[in-house]
Amino acid sequence: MNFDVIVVGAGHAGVEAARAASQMGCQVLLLTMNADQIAAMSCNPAIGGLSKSQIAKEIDILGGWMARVADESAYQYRVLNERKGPAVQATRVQVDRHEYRQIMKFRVENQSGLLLKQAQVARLLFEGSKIKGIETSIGQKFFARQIIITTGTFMNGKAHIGRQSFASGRAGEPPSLGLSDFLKTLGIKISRFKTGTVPRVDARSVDFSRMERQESQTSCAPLSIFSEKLRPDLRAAYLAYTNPKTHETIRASLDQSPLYSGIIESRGPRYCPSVEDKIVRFADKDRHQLFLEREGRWTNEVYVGGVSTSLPYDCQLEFLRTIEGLESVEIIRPGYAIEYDYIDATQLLPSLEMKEVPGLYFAGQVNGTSGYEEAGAQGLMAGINSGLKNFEKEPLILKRSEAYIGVLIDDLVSKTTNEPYRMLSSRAEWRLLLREDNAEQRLYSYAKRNKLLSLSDEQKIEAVLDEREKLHSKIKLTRVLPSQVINSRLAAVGQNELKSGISVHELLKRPGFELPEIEMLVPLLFAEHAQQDWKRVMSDVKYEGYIRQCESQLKQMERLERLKIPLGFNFSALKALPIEAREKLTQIRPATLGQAGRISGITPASISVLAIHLSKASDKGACVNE
Amino acid sequence: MATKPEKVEAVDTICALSTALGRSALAVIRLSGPGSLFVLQKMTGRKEFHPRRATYEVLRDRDDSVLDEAVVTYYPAPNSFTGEDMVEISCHGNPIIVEGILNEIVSRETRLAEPGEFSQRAFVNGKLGLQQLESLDWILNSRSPAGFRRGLRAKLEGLGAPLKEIEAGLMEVLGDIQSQLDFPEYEVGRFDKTKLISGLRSFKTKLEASLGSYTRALRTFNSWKVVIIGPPNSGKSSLFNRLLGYQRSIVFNQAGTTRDLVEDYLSFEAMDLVLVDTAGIREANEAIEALGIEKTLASLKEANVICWLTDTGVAPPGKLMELHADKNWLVISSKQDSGAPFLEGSLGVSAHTGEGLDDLRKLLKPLDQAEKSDELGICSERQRVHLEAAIAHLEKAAADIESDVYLEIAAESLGLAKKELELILGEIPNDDIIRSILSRFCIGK
Repeated sequence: MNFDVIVVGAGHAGVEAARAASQMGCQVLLLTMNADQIAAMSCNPAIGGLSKSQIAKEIDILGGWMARVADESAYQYRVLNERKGPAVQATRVQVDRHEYRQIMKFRVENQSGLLLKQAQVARLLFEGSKIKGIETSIGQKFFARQIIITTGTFMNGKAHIGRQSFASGRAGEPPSLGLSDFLKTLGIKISRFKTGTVPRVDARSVDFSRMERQESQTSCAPLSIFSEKLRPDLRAAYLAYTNPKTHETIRASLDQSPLYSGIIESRGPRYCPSVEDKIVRFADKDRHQLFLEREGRWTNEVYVGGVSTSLPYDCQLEFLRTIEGLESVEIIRPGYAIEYDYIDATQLLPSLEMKEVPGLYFAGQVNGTSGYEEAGAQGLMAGINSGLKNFEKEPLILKRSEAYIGVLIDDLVSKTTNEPYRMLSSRAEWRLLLREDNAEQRLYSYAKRNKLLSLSDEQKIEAVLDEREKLHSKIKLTRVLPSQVINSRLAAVGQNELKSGISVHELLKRPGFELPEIEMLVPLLFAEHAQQDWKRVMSDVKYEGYIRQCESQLKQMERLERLKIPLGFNFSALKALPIEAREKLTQIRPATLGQAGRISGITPASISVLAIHLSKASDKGACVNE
Repeated sequence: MATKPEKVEAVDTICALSTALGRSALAVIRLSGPGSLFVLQKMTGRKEFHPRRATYEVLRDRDDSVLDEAVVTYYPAPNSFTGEDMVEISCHGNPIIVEGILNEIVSRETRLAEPGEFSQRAFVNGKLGLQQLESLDWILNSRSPAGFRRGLRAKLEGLGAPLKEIEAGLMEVLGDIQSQLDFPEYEVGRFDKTKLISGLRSFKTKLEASLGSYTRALRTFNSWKVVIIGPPNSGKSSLFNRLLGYQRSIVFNQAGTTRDLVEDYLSFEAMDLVLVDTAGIREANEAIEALGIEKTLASLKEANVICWLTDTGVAPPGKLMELHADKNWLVISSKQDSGAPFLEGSLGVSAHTGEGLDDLRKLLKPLDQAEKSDELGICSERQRVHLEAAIAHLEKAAADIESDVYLEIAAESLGLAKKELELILGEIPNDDIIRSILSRFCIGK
């Protein structure tokens, strides 16, 4: 059978890739080893969180399903960093993982141009050096010029619980064997990472009354711009804490942990440490927070967040039972660690296409990342770019200043990661520009140009953009006069009192003036617009000066980005560069001077040398005057 | 898209006279580039040269006529100043000989170097860092010992250690704030606002001190201007001539003789001064004299030292001193050999006998202050601009934290401050740096 694009793996990356390519008009085949496990949440049942909700919203604007399905299957909402500014605030949606999976599956099955099949890919098919299709383990052959690999942790996956280990892609499911060996024969560099997950316990064995109850937020915005409102049936989560007894128990069994007994040597994610790691690395802390989240409405399984572990089953049970409220807990599924093959993403172009194998894309955890959002974002971009390639168009490369997705992919293809890559706001040098509340401003034009959205979705976004603009002009026109209320508020934040009238826009710029103050001062205007629109406009105003500063810096940086390095530039002939720099540049082959500068180990001096040679090589002679 | 491999331009060989042109005992000619050794072999007739060993040779042109006898040294790449093959020729310091040798060299596929090209090559080949390149300007062109000492210190020590210490401190603060933003659930050691602010302000104070030391140092880079003023016929021109050691200004026994500014260089104790003689200050008799007086007063703006000369015991006008309160003032009583009145607290001199002139020279010596070792020896306008920006961002961050503005905004300012420091150190690639380097390549130094 012939297709335009074949996606191998139907996890968070795979479904977004398949959706994007089919939405663009490609004939797409999506292959999964288990059709019941589409977009399965192997770890925590949640979408969003710090720096991740930004990604989920970016995916949303570019037509992806992640945020919508999270809203449709939501179990609890939380807004994180609420007391900090809008650029670092984030929405976290805990979801019913079974509903999430089910809804995703239903969407996949009903997407036009997309065919789902259960099969395991054994090898890729070539015609000369050109990729042509795939062959499954039972000998089926499917043909396409674009193949996207999104195998997550399944390639040569090996799970560990204590000293026991077994081949596995995810607990209870077989790994994908053979594919990574095949990829190695193509000269693709493959290494191993490890990650882990927490035990799931029986809700009936947990005494929730002795834990801190955390209600869902009910007044926040849904994750997706297309969701009208929050589900009404939201539930609570619970907080618990480890104690010195817990730590002692864990410390006593460290020799049975595959992480500490030398069985697992692969690197794990520093920002999502196992409980063993936490005890060892933060030895001075006498307690760690746990959060208990029910995995769905139709199950008693409870996810014990914060205690990712690969200790033997007995030890897991023993340390859990030292925790208040878990004294008689029963484990349904033990936590485990998993080692898997990933590819070094510096072998990829910024379009996520393999440099050496045109037509072959990699996206998701297989590229060494961690997190559903990071995976989904890559899947989406690989899907879009395979679609663009199918129609012989230039790839879509988002800039670091445009999207967290841009930061993510630029980091992946420029820097070799030595631990699973997790997004953090501090990785985004332009994070004041990359907010949860302005994804539509940043990315809608790309969605429209590449036909990633339905007409009705486009109209919805345009309406939001319109409202925002309207409100912006209204707050500039509406003036408030000095009053007792304003001046006492100003005094409270140490500012001079008002002598004459001031626009709402000017007032919003001042610290201490947020939406409650505005509501009090101009209640009629406030009521004319939705809370969401006010929030968006407020954050535009609060950051105004900084955004201008960012933009002027950006202009400077972009001059470096505009200095293109010709394809096939011979770095190894540049004897003035240190050997290490020559090797790195030859391996990664940056497209611009800007990208070259972000490669770890390339010094500014090397960049200067490169700039000098590039400008000498260019027709204009030795000067790069504009 | 063009896919043909880029050819890297082959580097050519350059030569230049490295010592000043003029008659002297020795002159040094340098060559750099792949053809250096070839030229040397041809001119000496010798095949083998020991790396970095000075040898005596007779240099001949292609007609076998002797050009000069010289001491030559061959520095094979990469162990040379430029990182390329280099040859150094020490010949006799007669411009005719030098020209003959250079002519012979350039006839052998070598060209005369552009200004600054040797140091540019050293930079491109990683032999000189950006800061070292910048410090060369001070080493080569400073007009005072303090100036070139600053340049030398910057070249040898760089700004590295002290600046990196501040950078590391900033990183720590920034790290604390970032983890508040990225991992609020851990709440690691909830940060102490007052401590944070005082830490930031202490970084700022350090940077400000360095900025002050640069501003002071700039005065030692250029020659100091010493302007002699006073009433007409108080002996300004006599003193001026006596200090210079020759009759530069016309001296005549009539008030208002000097009408224009007269300038000349005065060198002593390895330092250059510009000495300025001026028209005497009084109610002018004619228009042309009035113009001269106007010029005198205008020249004070540029002065580093103002010498008020009096032969009648009159103190400098209060208004003038007030107007130029930022200058160094020296009050001098002249004509002390002929019984002119002495102004209390002034320096008594006689241009005729030379009395008091040694004391005057001592006083003229500019503030050749030793820098405190913990101040950064910044050495270029580029570095100054970044330093000033860093100080501004630090202050903004401290003020923002103080008034509880969003934490990520303070982090933004801190990040910018850190970036400015990295730019000074040349640690991040930056378009401006690349441009400034490229512009050196276009027009030479």
